[in-house]
Amino acid sequence: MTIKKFAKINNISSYSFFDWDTINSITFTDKSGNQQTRDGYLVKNNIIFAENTNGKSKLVDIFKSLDGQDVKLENNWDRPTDGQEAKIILGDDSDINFTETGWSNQILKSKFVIFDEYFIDNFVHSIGPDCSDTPQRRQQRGRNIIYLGNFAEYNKEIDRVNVFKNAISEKNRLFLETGQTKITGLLNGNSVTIEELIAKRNEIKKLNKDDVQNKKEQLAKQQIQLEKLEKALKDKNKIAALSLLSEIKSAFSLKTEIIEQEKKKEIELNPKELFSFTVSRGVQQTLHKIAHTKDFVKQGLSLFTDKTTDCPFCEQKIKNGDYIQIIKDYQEIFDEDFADEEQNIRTLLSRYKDVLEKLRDLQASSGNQNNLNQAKPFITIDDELPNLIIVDTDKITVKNEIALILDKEKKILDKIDGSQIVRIKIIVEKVNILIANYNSFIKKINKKIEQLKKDSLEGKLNTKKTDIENGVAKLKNEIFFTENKNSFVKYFEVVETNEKNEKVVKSLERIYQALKDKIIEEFNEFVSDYFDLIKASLKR
Amino acid sequence: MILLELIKENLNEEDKKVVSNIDFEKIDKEIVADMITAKLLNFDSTKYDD
Repeated sequence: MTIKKFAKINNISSYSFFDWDTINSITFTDKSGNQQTRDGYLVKNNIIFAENTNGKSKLVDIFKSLDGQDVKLENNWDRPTDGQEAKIILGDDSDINFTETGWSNQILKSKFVIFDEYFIDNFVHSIGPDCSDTPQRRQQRGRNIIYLGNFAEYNKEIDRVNVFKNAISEKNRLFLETGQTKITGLLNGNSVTIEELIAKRNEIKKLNKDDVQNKKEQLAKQQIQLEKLEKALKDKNKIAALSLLSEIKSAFSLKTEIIEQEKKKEIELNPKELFSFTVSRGVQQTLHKIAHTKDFVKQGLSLFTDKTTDCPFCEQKIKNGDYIQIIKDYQEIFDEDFADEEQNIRTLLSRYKDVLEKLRDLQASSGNQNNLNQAKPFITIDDELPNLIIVDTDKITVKNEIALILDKEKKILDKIDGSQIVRIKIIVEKVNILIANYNSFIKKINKKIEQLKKDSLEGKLNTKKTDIENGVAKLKNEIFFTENKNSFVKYFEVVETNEKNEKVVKSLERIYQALKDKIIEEFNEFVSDYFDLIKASLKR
Repeated sequence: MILLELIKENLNEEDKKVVSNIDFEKIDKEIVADMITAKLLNFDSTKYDD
């Protein structure tokens, strides 16, 4: 539907009496020189222009009235009491007439889109210094981007969030920097970077101040070990020439082997028994030996006294000559066994003496100390060679026991009292412990010497040196971190707070991005609605 | 504040908490103070002094 012309407008606003045909009938000469007349009807696109106050806006009021908007078409100022009239001719030559009662039909209702101040105020915005400014003043044609809808305010919100986010981020950075300043001096003094410190955060929190002394001792040992390794690297020939230390081959024992009835048997030396060997003891022992095969001899002898008249073995009357002969016969047996027993006692005494003399003279190989001294510059040795010498009181006991043996050996048939066998057994135990400790130490040293020689030969000393250097550095750091744990833990709290603050910054960044996405979404929606509105109007 | 309100629903809980403390009627310093009160932020370095 189009409007062909405003045929009449009488007494409406600035229009006192308007007649289209009078004004718009035009006569002109065409290109062929023919005289032509044109009525000046409105066409598809028209421009209405005139100086201000010539009625352009009032014409728009008539359009709004036709559109059904709440616009009152006033009387002309010069004819306030006269009647009003308007006649609109449409494209199909039908007409719409206006009188005091309104328009004759509503055929043009809601058929207009009017880009007037109302539209601009509601739908057209531009960036400007003051949001309360009028759109016209804010447009600053040619310089500003024009936004449709409420997008200037939206954009302002987005900028505010971004600025706020950056401000928080900077404040947080300064907060962390302040915390770092408090420990920078400490770290620089120990060549530790902030990054290294942060990487060890959990490790440092677990450190215990009570361990510092122990770690310092470990450090001192490792530093000595490092010095020795450096020396070993310089003196490889000396390493090759190092000798191992000798262990003490066997422990002391009071047990010995004897042959009894042609079989080997282990017995424990019994000094009291050895010192008690006398003629009577010798006979008893001899009898004891034959008792299990010759019971009748034992029984017979037990019954035999000076007053015995009958022989306990043959039950005959004993005569002087017979008695002597019988005794002599038995003495032959006794002499031979007794001599064997005496020899046995002497052998055992000799073995006992041998054990005691070795105890008395106990000492380590003299070469061990020398070999140890040669190795000391290259290996870490916590202790000195253990002492193997028995204490003086024990030595006296041993010497006294030896003296008893010597006495006994001289007077084998005399009973000797005063053996300190209980004490001797204790001394043997003590000395055996000393020997065990000594040998254990020697084994430990030899293992170190062997390892050193092996590493030197295989060229592994440099690797070991690097390992120890790393160990030293690690221990130094641990000591440093432990001693300054309080300061570092406080710094970690700053870091954790900074991380928490950073979460807000990241949250603001997400909000900022969401706002940016949203404004685009809103804009697209608005543009779509806006052009749908225009399209709809064009269809009419 | 209209656009913030428009996006609020689709934010995660953490971001919603932050948005709930943003009042653009206030200056930045006041918003920071609100966030400190809500324990979202902390810039107090004095308690970490030796």
